[in-house]
Parts: sequence; structure tokens; C-alpha cells
Amino acid sequence: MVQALLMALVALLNGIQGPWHWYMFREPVMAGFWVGLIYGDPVQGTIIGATINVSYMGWISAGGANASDLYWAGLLGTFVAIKGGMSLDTAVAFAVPIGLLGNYVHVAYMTLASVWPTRMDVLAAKGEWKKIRMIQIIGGPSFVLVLRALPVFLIALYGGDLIQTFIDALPVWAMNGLAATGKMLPALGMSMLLKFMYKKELLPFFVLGFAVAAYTGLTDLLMFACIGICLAFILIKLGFSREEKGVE
Amino acid sequence: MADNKVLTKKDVQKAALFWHATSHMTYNYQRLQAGSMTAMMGPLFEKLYPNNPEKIKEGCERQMLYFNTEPRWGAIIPGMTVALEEAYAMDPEGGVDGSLITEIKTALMGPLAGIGDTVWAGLMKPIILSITLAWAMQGYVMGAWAYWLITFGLDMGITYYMFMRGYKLGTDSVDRFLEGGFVKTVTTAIGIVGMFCLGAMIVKYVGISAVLQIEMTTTTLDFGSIMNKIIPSFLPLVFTLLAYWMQVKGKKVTTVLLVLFAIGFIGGAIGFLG
Repeated sequence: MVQALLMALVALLNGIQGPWHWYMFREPVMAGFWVGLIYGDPVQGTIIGATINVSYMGWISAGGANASDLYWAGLLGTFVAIKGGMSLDTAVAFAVPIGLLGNYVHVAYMTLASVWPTRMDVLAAKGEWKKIRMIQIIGGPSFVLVLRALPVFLIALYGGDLIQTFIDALPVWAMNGLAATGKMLPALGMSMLLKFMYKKELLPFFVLGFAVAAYTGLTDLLMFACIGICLAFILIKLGFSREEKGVE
Repeated sequence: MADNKVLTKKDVQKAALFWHATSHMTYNYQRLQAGSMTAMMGPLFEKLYPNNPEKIKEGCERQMLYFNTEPRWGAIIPGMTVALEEAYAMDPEGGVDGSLITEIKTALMGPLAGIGDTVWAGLMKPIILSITLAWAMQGYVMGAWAYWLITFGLDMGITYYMFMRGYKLGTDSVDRFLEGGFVKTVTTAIGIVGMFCLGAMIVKYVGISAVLQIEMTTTTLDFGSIMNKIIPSFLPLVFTLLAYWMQVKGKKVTTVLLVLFAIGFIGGAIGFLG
């Protein structure tokens, strides 16, 4: 009961929009930490959350349109993985569909919260900005409470045993399928990033990064970042970005 | 404008912090960030129009119009809005009027959302994530908190800096900002680092490989190790490019997700992939 209430609290903080919440509660790696903390294993929670997070590397919510729900993938994904005692790959395979489900919650939230501007318009015509400010601060979060915190509370309260039973009943071939899916889905995160970053003149750097990692087996990303920053610094000094302007 | 200021630096700082904290708090399909803009301007209107409730109402209604941009790099727009509203209040006949404020906001919010999203969500955040997630996946809880510290610090720093810059430069601000080559250099530099890391990230994070083995009379044909000898991490690259190609072709992310899910599940269930 206490754990379910804490889950609801984390779900509320996870769902409220703003930089004070996005990084500390929404990002799957941090959501995983909190869920892990509630169920007594913050380290395992962090590992699960981080693994799920990879598939959401290039995640973005442009104009309020979610690709797939980052919020619940991390939060409930970690919950399901801990409760079901899953391997990391299987956890990813479960988290991403949960994210799809959460996407409907996001759409419901964005639609419902559209009642607030109508109320704000009335207040604006009276010049009552203090009340507008009040709505801005509690209006959205009050819907988050109903749409995200409440369902998570119920899932945390009643869902744990169900998940366990379900996982135990899965045949071997299905577990193999889910594990392969878990190894596959990070490709989605990478492809979203590629779509964002792709520019013809930057392609050699992509190939270079892949080739170095694939053939040497070195994958410490801090090392790649250091080399990348040096490359960028040298090339810009040599006029790389100016040249690019000429091409356009 | 310079000798016509009533807002103190503290007023503007407060507005910047208010914007930072609440820009998305009641995010919605109808008006997106308009509520935060209006609430942010409220106390400033109070100061700009003492004892003139009509003007305050007018200002609130003006700011309640549709507004949406990227909250960090785009914070230059609310910053500029404060400067424009101040100029308008100080000298209503001086060139700046209510519709101009709305026009400028509307003209700039799209381009800045594009730049901001690319730089933040497409480049800065993933690079930070790629490094801190690697720590977190090894079981270092500090990796998760390092992610929070770096992104939150950068988020707040960029928002505050862009907001104050927007206020300082007023109407010229965004033109100067966009034409100065600053954005271009930053985007190119982060693009190089990002693409370089992304290549390595595919090897590190996409673990899918062929596990099919065929027993022959004399030997075992191991597809995974054969492929690895030709190009290591070949399948991760292929599936990433497939997912990328589908998105370029206009497929929704959800569709791409389901396709990858299906390939992975079937491939794993029949023992080809793992």
C-alpha cells in the first residue's frame, strides 16, 4: 500500500511538465532509480531504467506530439521488470509497448488540458492574471494526478502478482522472441537520432564512429566524445562550417 | 528605448525563472504555452500600467494568443516580448504596437522551435545520455544523477541566458542571433560530435545478432560469427538504417516500432536472432 502510494507520487512527478520534473523523474534512467528505490533496489532500477532509456535516445515531443510515451516506458517498464524478475532485454521488450499505451494517456492529457485556455480567456478579458497564473501552475498537474498517478497507483497495488504469473506462464520461444526484441529496439532510438542529425557532409563522421567501434571493440563513449570534440574544433578552425555554407 | 525602462533587472530575472519553471506546466493542444506567457507578463503589466486596468486586460488577451516554441533556445522570444511590451507601454506611438508584438512572436516561434529541438533534443541531450547511460547500465546510480545534474544545469543556464539576451537586444535580437553564424557553428560542431558518437553507439547499444547455427556433417555453420568476420555489428547497422529509412519515407515512429518489434520477436522465437 505504501509502495503503491509512493509509486503514485513518482507517477505524478513523472507526468508534470517542466524542466524541474523532466530530468529528475521523467527520463527512464531516473524513473528507474525511483521505482528501484521504492522496491528496495535502486541499483537494479537504475540499470533497468538506463537500458530502457537507450530506445528513447532520440525521443522528442514536438508541439506536444509524442512519438511513444517516454513517461510510462521508464516508470512502468521498470516496475514490470522488477516485479516479473525479468532479464534486461525482456524488460525493454515490455517497456516499449507500455510506452505505446502511455501515449494514449498523453493525448488524453493534452486534449483535456485544452479546457484551461478557454477559462484563461475569460480571466484575461477581466485582467485577472493572478488566476491565470494559478491555473497555469495547478491546472495541468491536476489532470496528471487523475490520468497518470491514479492508474499507476492501481497497477502498483494490484498488478504485481499478475505480472509474475504472466511471466511464469510464457513459453521459452516467446521469451526468446522478447529477448531478441529487446536487443532490437535500441535501433529505434539510434534511427531517431540519425534522422535528427543527418546531414550529407556529416556522414563521414558517422561511418568513422561506427568503423572505429565495430573493428576495435572500444565503445567507451566518453572517449568518442573527446575525439569528436577535438575533430569538431580542428575542422571548424580549418573552415569546415564556412565551406558548408558555400555549398548551400 | 534605453532611457524608457521601468522594469528592473530583477523583474526580468523573475520573469525568466517563471518561464523556465512553468512554460509547459499546463501544456495543451489548444494554446500550448500561451498560459505561461500571460501569467509571466501579469506582474510586469501591473508595473507597466499602474492604475490602468484596461491596458492590463488588453495585454493579457494579447498574450493569451497561441504560442509555442522550444522552451530553452526559444526563450529568446519571451525575453524579447518583455522588452517589446515595455517599449509599447512606455511609448504607445513609438513604432511598437500590440499587433507587432504578436506578429514578431508568431514569426519567430517556428524557426526557433526547429533550431532549438535540433540542438537540444537531437544533439545535446543524446550526447549527455549516451555517456551517462553507459555509467548507469554498469550499475552506477551516480550515472543517473550525473545525467540530471548536467541536463538540468544546461537547461536552466540556456533558458536564462537566452531570455536575458532576448530582453537586452529587443527587436534586433533574433536577427542578429541567427545571422551571426553562431548557430551555424554550434550546430555543425555538435553535429560532428553527435554523428561520430552515434556511429559508436550503434555498436554499443544495439545488441541484436544472428544466432542461427546449422549442423553440417563435417562442421557447424555459425552465421553470427561469419557475419561478424565480414562486418562486425552488421545487423545493428542494418536495422538502424532500416528504421531510419522508414522514417525518411514518412512512416510514423509507432509503425517503425511495431515493425522492429515483429522482426525481433519472430526472429528470436524461431531462433534466427538473439
